[in-house]
Amino acid sequence: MTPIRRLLVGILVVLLLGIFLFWRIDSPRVERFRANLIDKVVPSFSWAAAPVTGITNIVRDFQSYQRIYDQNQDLRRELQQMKAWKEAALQLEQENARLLDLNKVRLDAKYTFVTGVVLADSGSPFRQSILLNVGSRDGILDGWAAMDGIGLVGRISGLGENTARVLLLTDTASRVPITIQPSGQKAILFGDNTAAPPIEFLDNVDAVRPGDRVISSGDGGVFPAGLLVGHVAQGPDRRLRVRLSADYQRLEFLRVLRSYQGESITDPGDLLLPSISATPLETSEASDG
Amino acid sequence: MAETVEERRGLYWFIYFGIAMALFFLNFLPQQMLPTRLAPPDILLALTLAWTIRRPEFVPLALVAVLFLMADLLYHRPPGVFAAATIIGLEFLRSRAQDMRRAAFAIEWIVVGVTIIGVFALTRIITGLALVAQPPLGLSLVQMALTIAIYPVVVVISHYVFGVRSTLQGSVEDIGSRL
Repeated sequence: MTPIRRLLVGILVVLLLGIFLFWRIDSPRVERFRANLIDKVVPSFSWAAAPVTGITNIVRDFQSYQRIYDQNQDLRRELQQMKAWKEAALQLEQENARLLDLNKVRLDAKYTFVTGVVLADSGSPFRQSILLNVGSRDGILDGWAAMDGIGLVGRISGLGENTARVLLLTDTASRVPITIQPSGQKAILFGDNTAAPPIEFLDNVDAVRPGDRVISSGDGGVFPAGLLVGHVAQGPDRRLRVRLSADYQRLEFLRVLRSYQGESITDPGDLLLPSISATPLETSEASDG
Repeated sequence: MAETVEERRGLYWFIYFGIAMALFFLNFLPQQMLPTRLAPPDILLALTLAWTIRRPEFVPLALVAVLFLMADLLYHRPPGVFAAATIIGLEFLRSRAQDMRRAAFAIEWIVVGVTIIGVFALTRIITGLALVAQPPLGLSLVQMALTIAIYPVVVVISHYVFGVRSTLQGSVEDIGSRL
């Protein structure tokens, strides 16, 4: 190895490690660059990706034909159960409508959504994220929630002009505040690169049973409250996990919920408390009277 | 037949770049949304190592650095670390390439295996020192083992499909001949 070559290798390695250090120090700038790079590279794959994806889907569908009899039996059984549920749902819907009417409730019409098509997955088994074909051009902002038709899928994390990355709930970087119904306990959903993420920071484990509904709690302003996440399940290691409601095997279209920051109250409020110094006086008067 | 050494080298740079792009494309197909226990092998790394031992002039350092940095960025890894570790591994191999071309393939495989382990370990150590969140260890180990396992396949394909052979026996005529 000649000295010049050695110098060149040294410079390259230092340069690359410099990029890493720069990323470690000022990660938002590099992440923005990363989002822009992906925005340029991945959509150019899409024309080629469509036929390949189509063919794999055909192969998969063909495989599913082989089990068609079993599937038919399963579907019949499920249909029976669904009929029972449908009856219950109809009754509940009527009851709910009556109650809402009694209470004169106006439901929140704040949440509208943008629907995007899934372009690509993260390309690596270490990261659970997908790429949507909507981006800052469509008014998407970082941090908005993404759902499929039923449940929460993840949040927008990384924006390009035409693409947005959705960090899935299963990613190791994903932490979502949740509420478990009906006990109303708050906890954090901890993405750990498995299909069913565990529940952490749960106050009272005994109050939670497998099968309980899990919804987003809206704490910390991460997500709007009340989005369905999934159901509690207990793994073989006796840890409580969440079986996600969103169908992660078939993510094709995602809804990105437009959520706007609610107004936050920062000062104590002059109407309720006149001023801090006047408070002791008032309390002494109150005790006199 | 007027193909010069430079043209041939340029062609192989282009082929290398094309293979890398094809691998990115395959990885980005929206097929796998559920987390898996199995990580696919890093074929680009195996290919780069195989070509470095056989024909180092086909994989210029600058191109390798750019492609691996791009891979880091596209796969959401900490940018630059894996690329830097790969370049260090390549230089380690390049300094031993002459001996390896004479040695049996089993020896080459062992040395390459050690290099791959080194690249993965170095990446993990650097990111660990910088307190970056680490990917699951099991998944990394699986990826490392599969990369080592797939190395002979990559060598055979480079040999027969892309015609990347070591220059020891054929030497000069081999370079001038057509692909």
